[in-house]
Amino acid sequence: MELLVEARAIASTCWKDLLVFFRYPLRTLSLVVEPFLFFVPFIIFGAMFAQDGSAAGLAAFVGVADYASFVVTGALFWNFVSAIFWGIGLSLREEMVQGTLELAWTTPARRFSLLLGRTVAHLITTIITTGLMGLGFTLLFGYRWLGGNLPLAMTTLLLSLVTLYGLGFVFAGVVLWLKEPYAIANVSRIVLGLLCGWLYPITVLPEWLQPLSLALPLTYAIDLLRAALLGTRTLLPLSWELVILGFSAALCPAVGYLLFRWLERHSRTSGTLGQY
Amino acid sequence: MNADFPVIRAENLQKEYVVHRRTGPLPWQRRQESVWALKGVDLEIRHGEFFGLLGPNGAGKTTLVKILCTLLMPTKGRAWVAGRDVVMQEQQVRRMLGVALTGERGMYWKLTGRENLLYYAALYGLASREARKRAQTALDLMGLSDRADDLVEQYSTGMRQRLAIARSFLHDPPLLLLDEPTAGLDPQAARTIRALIVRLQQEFSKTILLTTHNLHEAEQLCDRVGILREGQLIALGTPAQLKRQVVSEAVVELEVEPKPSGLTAALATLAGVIRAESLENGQVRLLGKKDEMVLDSILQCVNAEGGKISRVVLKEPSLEDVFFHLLSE
Repeated sequence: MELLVEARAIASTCWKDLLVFFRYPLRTLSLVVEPFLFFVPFIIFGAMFAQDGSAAGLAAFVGVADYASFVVTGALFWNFVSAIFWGIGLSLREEMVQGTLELAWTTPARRFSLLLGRTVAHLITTIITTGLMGLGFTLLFGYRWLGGNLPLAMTTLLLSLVTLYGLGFVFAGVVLWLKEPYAIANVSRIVLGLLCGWLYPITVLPEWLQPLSLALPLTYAIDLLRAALLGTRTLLPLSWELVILGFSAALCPAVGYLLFRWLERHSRTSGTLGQY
Repeated sequence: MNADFPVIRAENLQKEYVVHRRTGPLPWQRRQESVWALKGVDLEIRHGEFFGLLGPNGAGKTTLVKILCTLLMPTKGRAWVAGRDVVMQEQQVRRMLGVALTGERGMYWKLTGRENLLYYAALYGLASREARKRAQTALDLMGLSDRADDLVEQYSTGMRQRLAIARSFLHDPPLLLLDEPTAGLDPQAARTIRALIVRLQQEFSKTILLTTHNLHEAEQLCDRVGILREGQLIALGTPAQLKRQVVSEAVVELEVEPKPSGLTAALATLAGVIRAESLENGQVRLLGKKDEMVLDSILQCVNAEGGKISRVVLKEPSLEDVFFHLLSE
């Protein structure tokens, strides 16, 4: 019974967010067009270093010379990172500004359901936009992925999403605590983008940066996804990377949610829950 | 629920906020200070009671309401809602109360009134069919049925406030916490809201805790009122009981034609006058000691200022007079 009540809260939060989302038609349109246009220059930039579409330098690092597909895979995955890692916290911030956060918090729905419902909506819109982006890249830039190992890709994506939810809970907690999500989101976006190698193989990073990169589960997520879809060489043996990602998927949501609850309690103690 | 059962009980409730005061322009130039918003509040509100919580800005009203609705953790002391501890049993407490917080925020402006209610109904665990039924009932009761499917952004301030109240009793809680429900409304809209709140309390036997700055509203609606000052409950009782505390005082209302500009200030200096104020209708209202305030000296003062009294009314002190009397002590 309790589960049914929570499921209703999750579904209702998701439904509400989707309704609001689709009532801003321009925002909906920009969500598809903007990331697509953002990533296009990187593909074109890579073409400069390729001969007859083959990037020999890239091939030396990862065993595959198709730079466009290499970048597109990273870009499509990055869409999910943005939606879930930062999406939960940023939507909490929106609720603070609207004044709806405190009211939702006075209801008996569990915090977990309120957060999850929000991210399910994000996940749905991200799947739609990523699908459209993938189609656009396939038609316009010859993105080739259909011959890949789809079960491995789906497993990787699933484990990555669970990991990302955990990281998203931490970011949401930090938003409740510090109130200023945009500076943190911008800096963490740049740092993660630099380290986890969505645009390049991390082996091109300076040696002193590579250990940091290897400490991030997202690095393995992108690496595994490319290996599954494009047949690139992995940084570590494939099974090791799967174990690492599986371990982070098991750990991150629980630790992330505990941290979120701790920071949420801190906000309720300091009286800053609804402040922004 | 038994009429003597306290729906709200607070024992020695205290809340300390840590604030950072700037001592210079640089980020680290600040010092930490503690501010006690509540300094040991003891309170019981019985089932079915309409209770008004009064106090100036910063008195601790919203802090108390936020502790009761689990948005804020108390520093010391305990509070219970319908017998459930607000810290240890927060989930159960949230089921027992409906909240309408100050202002017209708190609703999704890109959703319709009905969609807003259905969303919150789901958060209260109501099944879809039941939620639809309750939302319609709430919309009917609040007079919003004909605009139920319009986006909230198209609502007037008064309509949004009515929707906020509809939201608060959607799940049929025994207790409603209404934080300044008529703030910022025009007199007509405020009167409509007051009538609706009274109807809720009388027809549905709700216990209501109302915080307000509007003392006439409190006097008109509340069975009992509590006055908070600097985090302490300095008075508690029915409006009639509180008014008896100022039995030695009287109110004189003067209609002066023409009204000289310095008249109110001049009257305030007279012996026995505690407070003189200009009312919105142009009259001057004096609160003073019954034994010391002399009508003759008031007449002389008006004449000396160049005014002419056209009407004098003697009145009993209102709750507002009690309020200012207590705050000035």
